This record gives sequence, C-alpha cells and structure tokens, in this order.
Amino acid sequence: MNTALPVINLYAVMPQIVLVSAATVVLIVGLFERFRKGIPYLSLLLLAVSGVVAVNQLGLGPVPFSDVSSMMVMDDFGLVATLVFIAGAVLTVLISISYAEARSIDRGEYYALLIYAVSGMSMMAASTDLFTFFLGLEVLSISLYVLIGFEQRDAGSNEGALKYFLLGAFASGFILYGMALLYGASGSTEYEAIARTLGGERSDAVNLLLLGGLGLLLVGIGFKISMVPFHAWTPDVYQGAPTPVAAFLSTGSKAAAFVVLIRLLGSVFPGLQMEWIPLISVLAVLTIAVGNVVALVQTNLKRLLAYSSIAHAGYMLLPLMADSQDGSASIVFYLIVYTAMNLGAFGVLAVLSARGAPCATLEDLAGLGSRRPLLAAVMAVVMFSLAGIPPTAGFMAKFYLFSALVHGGYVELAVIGLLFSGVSLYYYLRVVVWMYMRPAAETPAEAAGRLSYTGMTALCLSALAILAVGVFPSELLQLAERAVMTLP
Amino acid sequence: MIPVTYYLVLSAVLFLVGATGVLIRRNAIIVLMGIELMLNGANLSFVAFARQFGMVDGHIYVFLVITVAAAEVAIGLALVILLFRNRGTVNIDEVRSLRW
Amino acid sequence: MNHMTESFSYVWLIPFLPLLGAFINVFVNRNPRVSGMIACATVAASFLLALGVFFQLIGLPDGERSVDVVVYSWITTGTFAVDVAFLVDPLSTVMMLVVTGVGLLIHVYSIGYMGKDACCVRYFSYLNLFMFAMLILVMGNNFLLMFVGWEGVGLCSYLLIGFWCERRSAANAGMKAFVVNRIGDFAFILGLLLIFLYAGSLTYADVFAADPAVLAPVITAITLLLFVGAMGKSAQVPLHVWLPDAMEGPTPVSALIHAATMVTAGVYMVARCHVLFAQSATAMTAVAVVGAVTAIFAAYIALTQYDIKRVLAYSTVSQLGYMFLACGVGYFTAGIFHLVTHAFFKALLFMGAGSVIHALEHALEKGRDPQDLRNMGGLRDLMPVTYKSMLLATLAIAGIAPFAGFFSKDLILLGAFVNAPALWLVGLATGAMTAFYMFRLLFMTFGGETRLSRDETEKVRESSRVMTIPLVLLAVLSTVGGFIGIPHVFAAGMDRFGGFLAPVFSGLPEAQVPSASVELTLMVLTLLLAAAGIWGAYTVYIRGNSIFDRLVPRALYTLSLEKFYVDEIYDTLIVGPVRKIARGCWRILDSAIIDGGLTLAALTVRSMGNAIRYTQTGVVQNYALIMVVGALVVFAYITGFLGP
Repeated sequence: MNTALPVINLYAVMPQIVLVSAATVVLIVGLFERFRKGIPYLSLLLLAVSGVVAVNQLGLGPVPFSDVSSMMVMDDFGLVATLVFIAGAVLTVLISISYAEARSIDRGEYYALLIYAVSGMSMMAASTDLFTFFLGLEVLSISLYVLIGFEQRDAGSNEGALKYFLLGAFASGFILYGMALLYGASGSTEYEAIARTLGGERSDAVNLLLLGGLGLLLVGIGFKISMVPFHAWTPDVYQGAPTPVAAFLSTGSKAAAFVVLIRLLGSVFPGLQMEWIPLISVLAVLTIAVGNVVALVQTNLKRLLAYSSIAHAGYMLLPLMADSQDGSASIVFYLIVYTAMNLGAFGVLAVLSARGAPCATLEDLAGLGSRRPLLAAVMAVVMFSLAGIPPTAGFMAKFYLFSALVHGGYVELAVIGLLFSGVSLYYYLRVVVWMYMRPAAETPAEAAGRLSYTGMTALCLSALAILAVGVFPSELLQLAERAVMTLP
Repeated sequence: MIPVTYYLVLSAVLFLVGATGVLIRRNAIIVLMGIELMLNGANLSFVAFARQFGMVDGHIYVFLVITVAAAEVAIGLALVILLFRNRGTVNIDEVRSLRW
Repeated sequence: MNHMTESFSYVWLIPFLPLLGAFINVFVNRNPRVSGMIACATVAASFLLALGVFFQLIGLPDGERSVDVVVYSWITTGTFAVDVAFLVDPLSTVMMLVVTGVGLLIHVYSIGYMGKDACCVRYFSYLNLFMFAMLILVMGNNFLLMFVGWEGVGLCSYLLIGFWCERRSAANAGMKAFVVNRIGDFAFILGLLLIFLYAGSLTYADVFAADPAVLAPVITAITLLLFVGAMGKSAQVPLHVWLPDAMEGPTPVSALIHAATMVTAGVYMVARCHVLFAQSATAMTAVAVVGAVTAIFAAYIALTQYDIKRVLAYSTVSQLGYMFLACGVGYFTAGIFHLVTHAFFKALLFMGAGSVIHALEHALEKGRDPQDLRNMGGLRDLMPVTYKSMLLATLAIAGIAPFAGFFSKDLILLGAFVNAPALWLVGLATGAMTAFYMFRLLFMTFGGETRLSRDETEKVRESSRVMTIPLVLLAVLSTVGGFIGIPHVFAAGMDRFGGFLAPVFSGLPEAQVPSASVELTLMVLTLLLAAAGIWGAYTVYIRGNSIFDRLVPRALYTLSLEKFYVDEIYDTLIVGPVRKIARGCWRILDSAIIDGGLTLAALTVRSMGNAIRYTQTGVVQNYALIMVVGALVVFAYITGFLGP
C-alpha cells in the first residue's frame, strides 16, 4: 500500500470551496436580523465572486484534485457548467427578492441553501468519481427539499417538498445500489477505473454487475432530469414549490444531472453503447411525447411549464445517441439557453405573483399585453424561444441539437423530435394568445402597483440574452464546444 | 468463510423489502424507514465488496452514506412534522391536492 | 467579386429598416398618428434601396448578376457553417421590389383604414415586423435564413389574423392557419434536414452546385417535402383551408399577407430551388398537377361565395395554383411574372374591397354584414375611384388584353400547352371561370340596383385620399404592368422581364416555343373564353336591372334579348347545378373532410393528453410505483443482453 501522502491540489476545487464558503457566510450573516434586507445582495456578490474564480480557471485544466485518486477534476466542462449554475442562481436570487419578502420567507437560510445547492451541482459537474457525484447530488437534493418546503404554512409547498423528498430519496437509493454494483464490478468508484473494467475482458458476473449498475444509475439520474417514466413528480413539485424555487429546480438541478449524464455515458459507458443507446432513445422519445402531449391540455401555468421542461429534457437526451463532440456540445449549448428560457418563464410568474393572489392559470394572463407591456413582451420572447421560433436562442439551440443528431445518423429520432416540437408550438403560443388576444378579466388576479425592479432586471436580461444568442450565437457555441473538448 | 454472494443476496433482499415498504405503507414515517432500508441494502453490498477486495474505501463510503442518510432523515422528519401541522395527518395517500 | 460585394454592402438595410420601425413602435412611440408615419417611412426607405439594388444590378453584365453579401458569420461549428448573408440576384431583386413596393402602398392605405383603431400602434409594428420577415425570406442566401423568414411571416400572419381579438371567429381562424401551416412547415424542415444530410450545407450556392448523383437517391423526397411546405404557405389543395378563414384579419393585412406577398413565398421557394426541382420529374409533375387542380377547384368554389373577401380569397388560391402550374411545367419565369402581376391586381382588389367594406361599415344598419355581396350593389356612382380602379384590376385578373394579367397568364397557359395539354385545358377552363366570378363580384358590388336603403345610401362615402391614392397607383400598375413582359410573338426582344430573370434560370433546358400562329390562336382562345366568362356574369347579374340600359349599348341589349332562350337553359342547366355542386364541394371537401380531419387529429392528441394527465393521481406512492415499473423494464431490458 502506498504510504506517501497524496498530493492534494486545492486549486482544482477552488470554485466549489468558494461556493461552500459563500453559502456559509450567508448563513451566518443571515442570523442577524438587522442584515436581513442585505442578504440577497450579499448572496449576489458572493455568487459573482465564485463566478470570477471559475472564469479565471477556464482553459487551465484539466487538473485532477489529487494524484492518487482523481475524485474531482478541474476542466472546462465542469467550469462552464458551474458558470451556468451560478448564472442561474443569480437570476433566481433576483426574482426571489420581492417574492420572498412578500411571503416572509426572506431569511438567510433561503439564500444560503440556494448557494449550497449550487455548490452541490458544481461538485456533480466536476466529479470524476461516483462517490463525489453522489455527495454533490445529496448536497443539492437536501438543499432543494428544504427550499421547496420553505413556505411552511403553505400546504402546497409542504406537499411538494414531501413528494420530492420521498421520491428523491427513493431515487438516491437506486443510485447508491447501482454504485455498489459498479464498485463490485471494478473495485473502485472512479470513472476511469470503471471505464477500464469495461474495456477489458469481462466475466458474466462482472457483466451483470456493470449492466445492473448502469441501469440503476440511469433510473436515479432519469429521476433528476424527469425522464419518463421517472417524471411523475415534476408537475406536482413545480406547482407546489415557491415559484423562484421551481425556476431554479427546473433549470439548475436538471442541468447538473445532464452534465453528469454526458460525462458518464460519453466517457465511462461508451463500451456499453449497444445496450444503452436503444434504451435511451426509446425513453427520450417517450419523454418528448408525454411532455408535449400532456402540456397541451394543461391550464395551470406551472404545470404547463413542468411538462414543457419534461419535453425539453427529452430533446436534450437525443444527442447523447450521436456520441460525438458536436452532440455533447449541442447539449451544453441547449442547457445554457434552456436555463435562460425557463428562468425567464418562471420568473415572469414569480414577479407577477409576488404580492396578491398567485398568477396560476392561463386565465390570469388574459390582457397582460396591455396591462404590463414589458412583462408580456418578456414572456412572449421566452415562449417563442421555448417553442424554437427564430430568431431566438431556442431556435438556435434546437437547430444545433437536431443537426448534431442528423449528423450522427439518427434522422428518424430527429424527425420525431421535430414533429413533437411542432405540436409544442400550440401550447406555447396559447400563452401568447392569452396575453395579447384575450380581454382582461374585470379584476386581475395580481396586485396593482409597480413590479419588483430586481425581478424585472433579471427578466429583461434573460429576454435580451435569448434574442442576442439567437442572432449572434457564435461566441456561446464556441464556449460550448470548448467545454466538451476537455472530455476524454 | 461465507461467500460474498450470500451478502449480496441479503443486500438485494433488504433493498427490495425497503422498496416494497415505500410502495405499500401509508404512514410517512414507515415509508422513511423503507428508504433507510434501501440505503442500508446498498451499504451492505459496499461492505461485502470491500471485504472481498480487501480494500478500505468501501467501508469509508458506508460511513459517508450513513451521514448522508442521517441528514436526509432529519429533513424528512421535519417535513412530516410540518405535514402533520398543516393537515393533521401523516398518511401520505391523503396528501394529493397537487395532481393532474 | 469582392468589390461587387462591397458595392452591395448596404442591402442589409432593406430588411433592417422595417425592423427598426417595429422596434420604435413597440418601445418608443405611443402616438397612434405617428406610428403609421414611422411604418411607412421605413418601408419607403427600403423600397428606395431596393430600387437602388435593381439599377445597380442591371448595370452589371448578365453573368455577374448574382452577388452574395455576407453580413456576418452566423453559426460556425465543427461540422457546419452558416452566414447571415443576402443573395442579390434578379429573382431576389424582383421579390424585394414587389414586397417593398406593394407593401409600401398597403402601409399607406392602412393609415386610412386602421388609423382610428385603438390598437393601431400594435398593428403597424406587426406589419413592419412582417415586412422584415418577408424580406429575410426572399433575400437570404441560405435555407436557414429562408426558414427564419418563413417562420417569421407565419407568426406575423397568425398574430394579424387574430388581431381583432374580440371576435371569437378571428381567434379560431388564427388557430386554423396555425395548425395547417404546421403541417407544411414540418415537411419543409424535413426537406431541409435531408438537404443538409446529403448536400452537407444549407447555402444555396453549395446546394445547387451539389453533384446530382449525390442527391439522386433523395431528390424526389427532398423536392416533394419542400413542395408540401410550399403548399402549406401558399394554400394549395388540400392545405388551402386556412386562407379563406384568414380573412378575419383586417383587410389591408389580407391584401399584403394573404394575397400579395406571404402566400407567394411558396412559389418563390419553388422557383429558387428550380435546380433541385428540375432534377425530379415526379416532383415537377406533382407541382403542376397540384397547381392545376387548385386553380380550378378554388375558382369553382369562388363562383358562389357571397362574402366579398371570401371570393377574393378563393381567387387568390386559384391564382397561386396558376403560378405552381407554371413552375411545374418548367416555366419558372412565367410563375414569377404572374406572381408580380398578381401582386398588383390582387392587392388592389383587396384594398378596393376594403374600401367598400370600410364605407359600408359606417353606412349599413346594425346586423347587416358589410362584407356580404347581397347587401351591396349600385355603388358605382357613390364610390367612383374605388369602382374604376377595381374595374381595371378585374380586367387584369380576368386576363383581358392588354392588362397585366393577360401577359402573365398567357405565358403560363403557353407553357402548359407545350408541356402538359391536359393541364392546359384545366387552366383554360379556370380562366373562363375567373372572368365569370370576378365580374360577378364587380357587378354585384358596383353594378345593378342598390340593395341599400335610402338612409344607408346617403351615408356611403368614397374613401379618403390616403386610401384611394394607393388604389389608383396600383390600378396603373395593373393596367400597364404587363408590358414589362411582352411576348416574343408581338415584338422580339421586348420580354424585359424574362430577359432580366434569364440568368437565374439559365441552367434549365431551353423552353420549346410553338409557332407564332399557334401562339396567337391560343391567345385568341384564352381571350374568347375570358370574354365568355364576363358575358356570363353580365347576363346573370346585370340583365333585367334598370341600370343595364345606361351601362350597355342598345345593340348589345337587343342581341342579348335574342339569347333569351339560351339564358333560360343556362340558368336551369348550368347556373343552378353549378351552384349546387360548388356549394357541395365546399361543404364536403372543406368543411367535412379537411376541417373534420384536422379536428379529429387535434382531438386525438388532446384526449391522449388527458388520458396521461389523469394517471397523475397526486398520490406519491403511485409515482414511486411507476418508477419501479420503469426500473424493472430497464432492468429486464438491460439484463437481456447478458445472453445464456
């Protein structure tokens, strides 16, 4: 056994360290009542600091965490993912401020947990070992359980949290058991070791462990990205959760799970492609179909967005099949765009329902175009983008994704995806129709008065970003391509 | 010496018993216990494999998992208490106002 | 080539200016009066720039009249590169001129028509946005940019159909347009995917230069898919159902989007891809047959409609059919020529109809439909400018020499005669029907005795200058617009239009031309049939009315007296059954089968959605059960690979 002390490279995990410290600082400062108003701004500042740290490390990797066992690695892929999570968290904080204040949930823990969740996601993105992945996942999940149930007196928030908790822990059980099987097969939980075992001669018993482990991992990760049939929690939890938390949940935690999936399927399990490609393609098509078809009949906005997010997860699963740099880059690009779109969509709801009755159904949006022109314009841009109408970023993302898929030779999958994407236009445009083409109700549900400045800033930023990326996508495309270059 | 397969079978049984508990018990606390059982099934596999390989990392993982599970249970119980306060029940099949 | 690209570097302004106008109207301007000015000014500037492009282009030698102007590189990935770049060639220049020119007139007209509407700022920003999208569509140098425009115009059309949101029928019509266009767009995207897969690029220059042998296995599929896309956008049978309903939108919108520009995008696309279409005989036949069938089918329906805008809508569908017929028989120039002349006279007809509707809206009592032909009549003297300009447009669409429609329609029929005589017969019959229903419309609106009460009559006013001046300008174009393409048989080398477009279509095989005597005979035949159609309309809708004395010389009157018996036969044997069958056609084909099919499809999807939705019981253990079942399936599947 090696008795020499391993070389620990703290620099490689600097973004994660900064994030965890930031969350802890926020948590402690939040204990003092007199700083209450300043907490969100402190969180923004600290998130910005961690963003700067991550940006500075771009292009320097890959640097492993230690020389003995890799555990985590600092590479562009993980860093870009971390930056996306941080950006998502910044937008979430901005749309949370007025919402949390009006509902008296603006405590330090709320923002601290948000940043802890980001640190968990960042760990997932950087991990090269199943165990660090699991720890990151749990840090993320436990923060989310609390955040979803943060409105303690609200029965919906409570119910959503309980459902997410029970099913999430259930899914964790699957992941853990799968990890145990993979450990049994290869004697280690490192990605590299598992890949090595896959590459070598395999006995039947090892094969059983590997396949079983892969299957169980897919169940657990499928739960996080709401892949059918592990999606059932999504609409209920989104509906119950405080709206900014739902926004965060639908973007960050899903993106983190996708990042892990790209790493796992792309660099650990290519040896089992024959086995997982047909499986994932069937599940991806099912996910797209169920998400889009059920979204058609939803009138509750949060549930509609939940099913839409299921459908988008399905699209993002498709390029995994292509197994190419382009395919992975298209997922990363899609994730970035998707984060901006979904935060925008939920953000509009959050800003609208900050005070007064929550903006829950399509009817509540009637006449928004004349009542709140700027907000309606943001929502329209977001909806067009989700629907993939040019020249928005959503179109670019879909285009890149499907062209990577076609390039990989999966024309039939692209056709199915496009068909359902055509169906999806119906329900996205329905939102626009309600805003602009239906007269307002006598007494609008939302409270009168001006909307939160911070929330509007966040929303306008996302809408502008969506348009800008649609017209000038090159920079972001290059970033996505650079990110996947570092993957083995 | 007992072959490792025995441990593995036992761990699979534990996992399945736990999963069944999650599926069929109404009381939220017993469902939580089912989840614990599943995690411990996985733990047993880790330990068994670690012993077979003569390596220590599997044991360490188990400690980490126990810690994580404790954190999860703490949150879970808090949520169950809130549920009881809000609705006066801990039967999870009665919690279904969010649906369709 | 570089200096040429530079000399055209300003073309990006042409689509950009209307976009700027839309932005100003959305974000800066709150004044309804100013909004129209801004919209018109930006479109006018674009039109002037387009004229500049045109003159610059004819200054160049034939071979160099195709310039790619790269604005910036749009997407560059490992496998793939697309630029935001405009293609300046005769075809795109013609389209630019039509879109900005006719668009400008319609913008001006809109000031009069919509100026008092509460939402007129919103209206003008949509209209400007539409101009932007349409210009992107026709100017892009690659399929992706065309698709951007394609989706954009569809979206604007959808927004503008549903513009008057208080009307429930408007929202439904918007939805219908949306669903039908989805079908077409889906096929279009699939076509693009196949092109990308086989040609490896989406830029026109690369795709059209691709080795035919590489494309050969899929060329028929590609072209047919593209054509289905064109059918959706250009309302060809059976995807035409959305267009008549689209008339729920404001009338200037019908003129601009649903007559003059957007619906011709399909024709433009087919002409732009003529290199691909020419490689597949099947696709060419399909284009020609669908075009001919649409032409006669829609004309047949138009015979009996009473809503003035509906008659025009079906007429548009029918005329678009002509354009596809021309493309299908390889006479792409004729198709584009008809596109241009049609833009003139159909925009005029819609705007004239709008002028009538506008006048009647204020005059008619409550509950009387201002769009119903049976509520009109005798407006000739009350609205003289509208009447005269519409008369010229009607002569043009009926194909009477020397009005604009005559030359383009004649060229199409010539092409059909040479290449597909059966389709030529269909085209010929359609010509007669066109003349009939258009004059029926004209007579019922302006001729005969008025069906308005005296109170109502007194309130009818000719529209304001801002509306009539565009009418007059378009009337001039409808009258003389055809002279840009005088056929060879009259004067050699006077086919300026064909000459201008020739470099675009130079790759096609030389068209066969029949002898001059045959061509002239055909012309006379066409004219005779058109005259017969007019005469038919005249006998049915004017005869017996008192205005008849004033309108027609006595000699003709006595002549038609002798035809009394024929009239009876005509009435009982032809008009009656025709009306019944036409009604039947509309009811069965349009309402039952196509509408029904769409509704059924929508219902199926919805009920599936509902079925899945209610599996979402809200009980967390059911969700866990679904997960476990899923996990078991995954497990069973994955362990299935283990083998014995």
